[in-house]
Amino acid sequence: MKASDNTLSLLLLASAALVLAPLPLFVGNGTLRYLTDLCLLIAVAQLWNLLAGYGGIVSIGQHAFVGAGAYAFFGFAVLTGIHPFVAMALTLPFGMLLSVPVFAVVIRLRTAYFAIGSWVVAEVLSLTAGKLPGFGGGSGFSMPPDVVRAFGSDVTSRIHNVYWLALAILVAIVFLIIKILNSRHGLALKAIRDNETAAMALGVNPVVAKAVLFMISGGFLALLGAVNTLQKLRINPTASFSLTDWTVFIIFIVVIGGIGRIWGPIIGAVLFVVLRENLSGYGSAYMILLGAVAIVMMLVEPGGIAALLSRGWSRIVRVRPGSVSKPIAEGHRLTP
Amino acid sequence: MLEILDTLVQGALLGGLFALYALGLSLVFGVMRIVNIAHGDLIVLTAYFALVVCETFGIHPFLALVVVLPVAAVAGWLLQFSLFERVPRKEPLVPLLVAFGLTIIIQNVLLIEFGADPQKLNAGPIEQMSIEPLPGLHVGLFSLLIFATAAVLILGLQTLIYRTGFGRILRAVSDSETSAAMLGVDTKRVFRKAFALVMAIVAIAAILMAIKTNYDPASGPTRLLAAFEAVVIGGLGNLWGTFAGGIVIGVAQMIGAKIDASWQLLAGHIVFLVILVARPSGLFPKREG
Repeated sequence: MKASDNTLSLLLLASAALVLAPLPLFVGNGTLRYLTDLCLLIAVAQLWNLLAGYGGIVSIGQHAFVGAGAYAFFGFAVLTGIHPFVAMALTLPFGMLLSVPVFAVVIRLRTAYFAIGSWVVAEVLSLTAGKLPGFGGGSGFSMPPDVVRAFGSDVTSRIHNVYWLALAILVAIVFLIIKILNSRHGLALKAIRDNETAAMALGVNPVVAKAVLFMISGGFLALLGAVNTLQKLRINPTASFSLTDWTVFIIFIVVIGGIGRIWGPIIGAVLFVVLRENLSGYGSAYMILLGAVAIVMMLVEPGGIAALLSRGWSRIVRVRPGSVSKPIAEGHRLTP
Repeated sequence: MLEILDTLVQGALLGGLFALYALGLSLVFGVMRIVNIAHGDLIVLTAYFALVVCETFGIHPFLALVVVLPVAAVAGWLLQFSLFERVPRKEPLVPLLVAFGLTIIIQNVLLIEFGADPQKLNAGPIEQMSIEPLPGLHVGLFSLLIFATAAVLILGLQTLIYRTGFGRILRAVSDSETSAAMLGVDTKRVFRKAFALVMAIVAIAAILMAIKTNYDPASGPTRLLAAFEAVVIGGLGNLWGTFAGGIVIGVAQMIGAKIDASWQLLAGHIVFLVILVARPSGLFPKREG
């Protein structure tokens, strides 16, 4: 990615944040809750994309961190009784710490088996969550009203605050990812993706480089899981650790939107929620459609819709000779 | 004492079932270098097909194998021909995600067709028969049959891989696809045949599973994880090791179940992770040469 593209991405991010932040003044509570869900989906998708698209780590266990974050938030805020704001903030370092042993165990599996290994770990964490004393066992617990009220005394102000919280975390994640990709670390990741052995010969340690990404993703996922409890208002081993919500849908979002591109998860998530609104009555058929589209996308254009769009954009731009502006996504190609 | 022995024997026999799940997974990875996340769902899909065959013709599940096995083999050939063959395998990411899409499609097609209710095949009196090798120790005949089937299949596969012309080609392709292709091997045909073989094994595993355990459209992943753990614990590419790995997981699950029914799966996973940390390349890594 060139420096100008970097600045352009950051400018676009800043303007998007400026447009989205005042929305609570204009739209109703229903729409706002919907947008909060969208922010959470895009954020989780960005983190999966950070691992798979840039780090070459395919995880099917992301839901473990979302669920662990929800449980950690409940544990800190309800069981130890510290202030809900502090409890929520603590889920970030908690997720980062949790990701260290998880990574240390699963990285022992060769690249391709890492995926199933992370799934086993997620199963272990979700089954364990159902056995923890004080967390309500298999049926879970509702969030106590005083914890929820700390995020807004009435429903409307709470919905506003949770929206701003989700939006702020999303912006922070995208900002961080853009920064990482333009740092030495991003360069190291690119080198690993192109040729791991050659990268190692140049002094890059692939395990450390991947571990850093895994920790960042684990921390933010836990934080997002904590925010999500304010939407769902309860913790439960099956719902908090939902494989479908936080891994299956997320993978489809990134694959269809465009893996290895910063716009991919955003395009994928928006498409996903729009389709879900219109096809929610079809349940299983919708899942089959998503699966089929993802497979076709992998076979036809592994770069997803973002790649198709950027190709179309390049064609338009090329019409005017002398124009040097390149699509932003161009820098994040899966295969250079 | 007898109770401990009973747990160990039941666990080992359960491990035979896991080994059956694992053989196909191991072959697909060994030959095609694809981590087939949909493996468990292919087993469950085949089990549903067996259910349809049994109900349509009103036949015994064992007899249904005469129909299910060849159909599954052809389906495997077609799956390789129409889908996996077209997947670029340069990066592991792409085939992995294609298999992932397949998983979700299979589960939801089954859900629409058959609903979420658990199913089971009925094999009649053999399910209740047992022998008593020691006074007080009862061993189910059907569980023994599963265990023996796993052993016979491994023996057969070993013979196929190390003693036949097709096995030699399989090993060549597994070592280096490009070199094998340069020496005139039609790798595409080899892969299609290999996938047909995998699905034939899946057919046997599916029918035995369907008699032994309940299954529903969402059962695939638990089968996949058990198979995966058996393969990794045993050491990649070592079929007898996979058998041993299956037994380890089976025994762990049975000991867990002894403590509390909800501990069964968790105990298996934990033992797997502990072994992974202690012996990253498995208990019986394949020796080179």
